[in-house]
Amino acid sequence: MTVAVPWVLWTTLAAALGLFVSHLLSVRRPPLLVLPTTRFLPPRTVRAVAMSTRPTDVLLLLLRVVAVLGAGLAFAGVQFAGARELIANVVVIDAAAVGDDSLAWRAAIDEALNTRPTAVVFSDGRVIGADSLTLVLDRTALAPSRDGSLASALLAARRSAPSIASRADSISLLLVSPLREDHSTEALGTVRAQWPGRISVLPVLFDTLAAAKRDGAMPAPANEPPADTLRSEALTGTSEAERSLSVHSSADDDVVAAAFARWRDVVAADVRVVRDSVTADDVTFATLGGVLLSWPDAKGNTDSALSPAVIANGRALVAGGLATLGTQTESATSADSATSADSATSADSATNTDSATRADSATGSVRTVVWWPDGSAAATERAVGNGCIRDVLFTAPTSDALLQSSARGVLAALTAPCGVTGGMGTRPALAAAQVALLRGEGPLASAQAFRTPRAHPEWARWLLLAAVICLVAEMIIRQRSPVLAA
Amino acid sequence: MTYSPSPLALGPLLDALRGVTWPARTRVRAGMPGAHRALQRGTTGEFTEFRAYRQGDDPRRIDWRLLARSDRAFVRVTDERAWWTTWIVLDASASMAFPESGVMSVPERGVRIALDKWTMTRALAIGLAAAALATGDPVGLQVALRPDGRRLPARTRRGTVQSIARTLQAIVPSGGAALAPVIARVPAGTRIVVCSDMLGDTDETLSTIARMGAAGSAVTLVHVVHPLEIAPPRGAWQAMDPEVPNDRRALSVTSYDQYTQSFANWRGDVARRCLAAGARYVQLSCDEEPARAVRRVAAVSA
Repeated sequence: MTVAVPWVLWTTLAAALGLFVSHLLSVRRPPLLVLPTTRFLPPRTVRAVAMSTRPTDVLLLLLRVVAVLGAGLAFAGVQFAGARELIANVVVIDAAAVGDDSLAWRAAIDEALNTRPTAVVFSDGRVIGADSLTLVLDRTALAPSRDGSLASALLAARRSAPSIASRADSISLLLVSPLREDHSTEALGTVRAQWPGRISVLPVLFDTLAAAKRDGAMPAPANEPPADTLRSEALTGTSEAERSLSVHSSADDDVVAAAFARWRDVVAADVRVVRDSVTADDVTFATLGGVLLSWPDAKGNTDSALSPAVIANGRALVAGGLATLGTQTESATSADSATSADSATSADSATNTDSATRADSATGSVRTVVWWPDGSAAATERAVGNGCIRDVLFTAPTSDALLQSSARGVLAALTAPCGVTGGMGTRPALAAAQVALLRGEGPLASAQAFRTPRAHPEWARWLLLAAVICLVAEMIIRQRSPVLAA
Repeated sequence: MTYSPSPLALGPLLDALRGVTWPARTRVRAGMPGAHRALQRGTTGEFTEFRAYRQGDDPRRIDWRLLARSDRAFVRVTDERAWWTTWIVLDASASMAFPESGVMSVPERGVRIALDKWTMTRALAIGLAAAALATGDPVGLQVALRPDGRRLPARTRRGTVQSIARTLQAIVPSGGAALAPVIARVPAGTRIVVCSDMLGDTDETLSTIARMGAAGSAVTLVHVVHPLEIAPPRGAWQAMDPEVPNDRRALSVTSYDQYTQSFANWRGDVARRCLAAGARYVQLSCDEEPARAVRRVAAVSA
């Protein structure tokens, strides 16, 4: 039950109580006493206050109370609703990086879903209710969606709050996000102000190894920092570990080697780039936790040369929610469209990777890390041991396109830690002040703030009508009773 | 609630009053020979004194033996004895039918039984009539009752008490008949006993009593008061005057003391005005034994 004007309701209840008490302490005529010497009494009214343990004139009392309560409830704007929970847990997923489906995301979402949320809200506006949470659990709903941002996630939660507010008294918001900067970071403060309560933040760790350790899949070595430290590193985006990068190429003037030399800072893992065929040593490197980037050299393929005009038209590669570089080459086009692992597998077959890669693909552990604008895979990743092998499905351009800043995102995606979309992982983390602003202080958001007040519900007029009828009936009954009329 | 008078046992009352007479406190007017000393001196009857002969005296009243012994003429003087007609005037207004339940106990005054005012008045009237008849006086009855009242002429014959008792038995106090005109119809020079609660035409009644006293009647006002009137039940009540039903007033804790004080002052005022009118005032409480009340009213020294 919600009340638009609470003080009217309290006043009504007090008036009803006063009516009841007045029927207990009603001013009425005392018993009749025939006394011949009445003349010696002072000429005062014969009414006297008489106390009774049972209310008198119960019918009149009921009519009066019903009339008062009816009018009071109508003017107080009381609205009756079904049983509500005390707190509604809402999980907000920053869907810009969901498509990565990394171990970190899996762990974070599993932890978030343990709160038994009432709804799951994605930054692209999708809302999944409690009855469809199995979709989230099956990851069916976690399709890659590079739309939206952290701010849009909060806005989506704000938009969905009115529909959730009717089911609880307070709304607890749990934000699952990598807490990285994006194009809406500057507006984060304004957007955050739209949510009237504190927000619980569950940061996503872009470190597969750390996530695996956190889940207990792999025991942490004694010299490894604890999981909290890893989480802190993920938040701040800094790591003291120096990442190694090696490019194995037979060509002296390999543009890929030049590009990685140019953009050394985007490398976030131990990466070995293989421009030739993958050897057993390379696979061992990947098995031990490194990132083996298989980027076959296709000499003489001039079709992959990029032209600025093509980039200006938006035919670029997409990684981590950022359009970066490239155009759709013949080899990439030959890959099946889309984001499914099967299509990636077929694309993988087209690039003549080794048998080990195909064996891993058959297990279904292949995921896409770089897309063409039409959604087809441009680079895939296969998990191998503690590491992974990434197969680049397009030919490196012979021009200086990889040396330009627009290539930074693609290289970051290709050299990101296993299980992480490179673009996201390479974005700078939110500042601590911004994270604190995001969390906020104080109590949870009250559901009352999201309810649309309706001053006079539909049935208020019927309550008023009932009150009027009761008053008329009370007047008629009182007039027909000579004792009461007196 | 309708009035239900208390039962009155006539036999025990008369038995208790056997031998009780009602002598006059002063000389009465001359009349038929009776038990009371009359104002008139005569030659008959018992000897009272000698008086020196004066011219004009009847020579037959001279005591010749005393003249022979003392050589002086004396006449024998004797007192005349006459009866004294007694009129009992009763107030049968509605206020006399109190309480309506009749007999009741009075816890405030011990375990005493109080008759209702009309029954007490009836008992008093019958007892006084019996005492008067025992004295040899004729007794008449006047009842102030609407519309025409009741009247029994003064008689001395046997059965008068029973006649009075039957007459009163048939009367139910009601209305608000004026008492003063009834008193005024009583012949002068008689003994008048007025039994009333004085809640009707009080001023007129007292004026009439004063006039009757001036006319030579000996008036005794018996003011009948019920204990419930002196001390009504405590609590919140809606008091109603039976003679003025529309006059209803609140009897509550706050007005209780004011009522008792006002009522006591009024009783004292009535007694004072009655004595000032030359009448005798007797306040009779209904919890008093009727025979004792009769003796008290009939007592000479009272």
